[in-house]
Amino acid sequence: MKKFKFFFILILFLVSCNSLNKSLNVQLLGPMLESVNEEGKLQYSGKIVNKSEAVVRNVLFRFIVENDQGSIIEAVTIAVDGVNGEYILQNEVVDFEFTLRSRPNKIFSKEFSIDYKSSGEDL
Amino acid sequence: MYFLKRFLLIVLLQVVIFSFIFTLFIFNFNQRREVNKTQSKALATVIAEQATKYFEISKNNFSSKEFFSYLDKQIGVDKLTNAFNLNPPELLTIYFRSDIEKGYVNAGTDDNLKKDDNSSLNKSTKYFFNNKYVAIKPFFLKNSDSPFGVVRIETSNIPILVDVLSSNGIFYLFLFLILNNQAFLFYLWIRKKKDVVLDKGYLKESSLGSIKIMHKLLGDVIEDHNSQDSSESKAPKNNILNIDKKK
Repeated sequence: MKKFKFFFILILFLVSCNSLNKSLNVQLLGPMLESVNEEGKLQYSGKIVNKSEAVVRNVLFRFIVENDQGSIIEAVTIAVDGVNGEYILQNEVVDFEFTLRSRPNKIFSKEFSIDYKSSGEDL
Repeated sequence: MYFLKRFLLIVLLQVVIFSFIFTLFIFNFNQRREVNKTQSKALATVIAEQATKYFEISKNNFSSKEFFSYLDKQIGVDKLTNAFNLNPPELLTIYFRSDIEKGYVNAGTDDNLKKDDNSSLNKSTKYFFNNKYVAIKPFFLKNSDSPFGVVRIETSNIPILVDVLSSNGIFYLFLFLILNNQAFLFYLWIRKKKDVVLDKGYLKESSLGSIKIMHKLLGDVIEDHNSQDSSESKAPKNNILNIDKKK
C-alpha cells in the first residue's frame, strides 16, 4: 500500500511537471513591436502563430495597461482571425495590430494574454 | 511532550531540507536569468546599430514603425529573437529622445537616456520576485554626442522559472527523498543504544511470572510423559532449568 502511495505521488509530480512544461499552443511569434504613431499614441503590432496540432478558433488577444498606482486604465481585446475565417490553421501566422487610447506617459505596466478554443480537428 | 518534541524535530528537519532545495532552485533560476540578461543586452545592441544605420539614412523620420519594417527586411525580427529559444522578448520598442524629453512617453531611463533601475516601469514584482527584465540601449547618429533615441526590450522571467522547475523537478524530488534517507541513516547512527543491566534484571515482574508458570506447566507435561515411558525416565530432566533455584 505504501509503495502504491509513493508511486502515485511520484506520477502526480511527474504529470504536474509535464503540465508546467507545456508550451503555449497559440503564441506570439517574435516580440510585439511598440511604436508611437502620429497622434502620439502607442501602437502595437505583432504576429501570432498556432503551434498546436489542431485548428484553433476564437483566438482573442487581450492587452491590459496599468498606471503607476497599479490600476487598470485600459484593456483591449481583439479577435485574431486566420486567412480563412475565424479559425487559425496549424502553423498559420496571423498579424495583428491595435492602438491604445491612453496617453503613453500614463502607462507603467503592460500585460497580455492569448485565449482560444481548440476545435480538436486535425488537418 | 515527547511526541511533540519529535514532531518539531521532524518539521525542523524538513524545513532545512526544503530550504536547501529551494536555494538550489534559486541558484539554477538566477543562472538562467543571467543568460537571458546577456542575450537581451546583445539583442538591444544589434538593434541599436541597425537603428543608427536606418535613422542616418532617413533623417527627420521619426517613425519607429517604419524602422521595424526596415529591420524585418534587413535581418528579420523573428530571426533576431530566435536565439532566445525559451523566452523570446515580449516587447520591442524604439523611443526617440525628443519624445522622452517632452514627456510624451515613459522609457524608464534617466537624464542620460540610460536605464534607470529604480524606475517602476522596469520592474514587475509578482510572486515575490521581479519577473521582468528590461534591456535599454541608446543609439546615436554620427556627429552627435547625445543619443537620438533608445532601444527598449522587455523580457519575462516567468518562462525561465517554469522551465527550471519543470526540467529539474524530478531531480529536486529525488534530492528530497535522498536527503530524508540520509537524515534517517544519521539518526540510526547517533541513536543511543539502551544498555542491558543484567544485575537489576531486564524483565518485568508480570513477564517473569508468566515464564515461571509456563516453565512449571512444561515441566509437568514432560514429567507426565516420563512416568508413562519408564524406559527413558532417567535422562530427560537435564534440559529443564529450575529458575526458582536462583532465588
